[in-house]
Amino acid sequence: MTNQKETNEEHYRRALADAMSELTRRDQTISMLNAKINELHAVSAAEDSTTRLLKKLYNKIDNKIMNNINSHGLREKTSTKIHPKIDVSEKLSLKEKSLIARDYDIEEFFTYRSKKQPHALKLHYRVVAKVYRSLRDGTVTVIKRTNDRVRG
Amino acid sequence: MIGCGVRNIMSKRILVVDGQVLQTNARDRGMGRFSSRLILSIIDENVYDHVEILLTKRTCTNPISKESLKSMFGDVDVTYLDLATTLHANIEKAKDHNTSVINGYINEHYSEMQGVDFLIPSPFQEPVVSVYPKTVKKIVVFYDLIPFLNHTRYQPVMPFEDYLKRFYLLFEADVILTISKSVKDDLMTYLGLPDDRLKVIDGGPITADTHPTKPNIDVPEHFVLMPTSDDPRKNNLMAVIAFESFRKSHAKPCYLVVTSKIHKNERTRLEMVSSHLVFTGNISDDELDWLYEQAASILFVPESEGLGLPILEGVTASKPIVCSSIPVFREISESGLYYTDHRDPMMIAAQLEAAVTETEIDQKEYSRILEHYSWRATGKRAVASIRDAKVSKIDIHPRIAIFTPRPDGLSAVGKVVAEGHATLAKYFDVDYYVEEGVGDVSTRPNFLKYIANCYPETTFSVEKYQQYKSVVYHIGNSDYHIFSIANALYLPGIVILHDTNIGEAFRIMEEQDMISQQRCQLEKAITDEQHADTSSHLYSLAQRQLGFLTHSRYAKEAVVTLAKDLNDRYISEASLPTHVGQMDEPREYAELTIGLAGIIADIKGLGVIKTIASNPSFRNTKIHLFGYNYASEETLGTLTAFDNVELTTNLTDFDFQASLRDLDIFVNYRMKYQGETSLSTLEAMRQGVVVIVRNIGWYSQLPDECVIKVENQDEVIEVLEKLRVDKDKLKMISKNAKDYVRNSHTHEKYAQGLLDLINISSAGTTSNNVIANALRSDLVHNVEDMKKLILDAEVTK
Repeated sequence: MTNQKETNEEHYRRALADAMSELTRRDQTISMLNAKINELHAVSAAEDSTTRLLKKLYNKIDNKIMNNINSHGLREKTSTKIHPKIDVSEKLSLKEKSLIARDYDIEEFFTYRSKKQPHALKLHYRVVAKVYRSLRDGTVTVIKRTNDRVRG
Repeated sequence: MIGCGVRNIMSKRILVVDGQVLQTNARDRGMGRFSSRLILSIIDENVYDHVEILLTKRTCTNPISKESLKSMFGDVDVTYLDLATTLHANIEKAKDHNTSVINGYINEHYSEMQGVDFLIPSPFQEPVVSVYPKTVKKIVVFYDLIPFLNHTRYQPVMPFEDYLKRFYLLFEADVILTISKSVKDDLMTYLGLPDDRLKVIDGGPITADTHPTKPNIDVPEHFVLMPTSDDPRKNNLMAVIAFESFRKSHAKPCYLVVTSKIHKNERTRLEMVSSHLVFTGNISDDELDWLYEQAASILFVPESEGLGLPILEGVTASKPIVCSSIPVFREISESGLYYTDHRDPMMIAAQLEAAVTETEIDQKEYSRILEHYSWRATGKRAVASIRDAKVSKIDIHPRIAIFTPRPDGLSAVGKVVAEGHATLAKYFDVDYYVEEGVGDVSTRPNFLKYIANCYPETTFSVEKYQQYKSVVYHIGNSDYHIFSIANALYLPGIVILHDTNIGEAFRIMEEQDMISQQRCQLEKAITDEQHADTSSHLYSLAQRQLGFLTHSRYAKEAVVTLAKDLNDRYISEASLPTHVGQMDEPREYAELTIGLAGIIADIKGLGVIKTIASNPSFRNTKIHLFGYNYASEETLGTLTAFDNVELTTNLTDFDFQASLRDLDIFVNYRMKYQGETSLSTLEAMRQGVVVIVRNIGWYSQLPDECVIKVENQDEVIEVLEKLRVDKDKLKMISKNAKDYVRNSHTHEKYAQGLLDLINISSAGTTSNNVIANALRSDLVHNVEDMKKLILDAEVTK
């Protein structure tokens, strides 16, 4: 009986040791793979091609120009909205209050024909932005076309 | 119109194919090769007496001669037309130009009576801009929705807006031939395309007509073949890591042969992991066949696929195949392949070892696969699907306007509206007025703006109101509904009510300076005065509509309480619609995954999750929280401190649905109920997830055999403990839930419900009908007219 118990214990101990060593082996593999993944990320981050760098630079300059035009050319807000006045007394019936609410809503929201949104930029800045955009896009198209032609 | 050059082929079947994909670089890749084989297999069925292939006469990326086409397809007519591509013009201009050219050509050469079948085999191929002519049966082949579903990854690397702009080819098609059930499910689930227009044709292996030839590279003796490409979804890095792990423990020296042209950066990256890689570059079909024949095993572990041709080609070569355990591959075979989790390199390596060592292949299963996935069978399925498809008639539908949250915003209502458009368009001619919301958050690609008329919400007016038979307002309790509320307050229409408490929307209107604080307070006061404890800020809206569509009895009763003048007939109830896919994956419930999804907020049951996570009985149960996070840092900190809790936020729709599918039980216990319906509950039910809900409002109305209802938080734990050991009950509820959503929550029923309500309510005689009719007769031009009109309407009443 005792021998049998020892054999069982021995068996479990061995199984446990095997499992532990398997776990350690897996841990090592995982940490090795993690290190490789990190390394790959670093390589990938450093792998900026000249084209990508040029594109980044181009976008940065373009954003700067457009931001400048937009920030300087924005119209100032001229007025704040004045809401219709409501005068509700507690004594009014529900129906009367409801009619007051209705009148308010009509005055506040009624639109017969929607107006075109006014331009966000002042006129001069709008002209500058348009000229810049057409120069920019035109140039890019010309470069692209030339590039396509050269590549055949 | 029959032109002077009509061909003498009356009473015969005619197939016209837009073959421009064969003039692009894709000709020798997956889609091009698939297109060629499909066209050939349709021709081989001999049901068409005349086949014509249309090409562009303009420059394209990879020209093809008439002779080459004739040698590929035999006796076909090849015609070059002046078709523009995105190389020549922007997609809109190219589309207009091509429509006119194609219509001109078809009208001139075929009569309407002849019934032309017009096939577009590859609708999304750049730079081609395909269009359908009028008066033909419109057929399109669809491969996958992967760029749309993984938009964050694909948006920066492809002309994404042009991709979305081509969606009209799907929405205008009479029949869409999909290459797998999974792709069909995706089209139904994410685009809302109706089942009856989608037909699965599958596909077959693409092998060379000639004998396999050894490629002109050094091929090692013992190798695993990985057919792949540069696409990030191909999961190359994980596959190579797994291969390296396998190789080190494998008895024989082994190499991984990687096919296709792989970019040098990617090659360097992969070579850092393993020095046992062989890159073949682009090789011909016969060389690829040779590699399949010589390989010890095939390794194909992408994240997603439309069909999986490498699997079919591996089966043809009788090789063991290790592949991802994704629905589209399980569709091919449940038992014949070595499935693995594509995210787990250890598991991939273990399956690779098993595949290479266990040489026995289930030949019976392989034969079954090849019988189904053959080009002959595909051709037959395609021909039958085309034959059964009905040509859509150009009907005149009632013109309606719908106010909706932007489909790509945070509101689930916008998503439901976009998904419902395909069905709604069968009943109505719809213009959408889109609410942008306050924050500029985009969560998914917006395809609605490219397939329907969409206008900014600010452009709506009385003049616009006159143009529509009805105006439908989606009303909910967020910043995506404020213009809908503003318009609904003076222009009577149909309100689709998503929340009975719209206090938050009113607060935002005040914050945005749309209304005054006084008006906001007045709305609360008059609603409260009605003792309406099931709603808030709803009184004025309820008073001023022609009709209401609600999603529950709870919401209907709330409206009835407030709108006493509105007859019951004008307040109808319809089930929030959603599509149910056809794929039916078996659930085993070996280890349970419990989850909470959607908007993660303190009111939505986080307290319950905390209790479950800390309960010792559920220590080994995985608890997954995912969705948009609105919970406090503190709450999240407490939750993530538990080892068994996993939190994922800001997922794409695709990841959200995939995470939902992985759940066994979904706990949706609302601490505070505000008259809403829960889309995530329905989306869980449609995937067979068992949902535990609080027995309140809309949730109470769900059938008892489809969800589990509880009265309080403590009951959630009790129910979970019982469910943990009752797999039969889980299986039963799962099946019932799916069947219930499939039968009751359809877009078709919803659209019909809306049509009925519009018809009934527009014939009503309420004072709101008087106002609506006067507005439509152009009697109102300013505020004074409007006030007078209301006064007259009251008097008439």
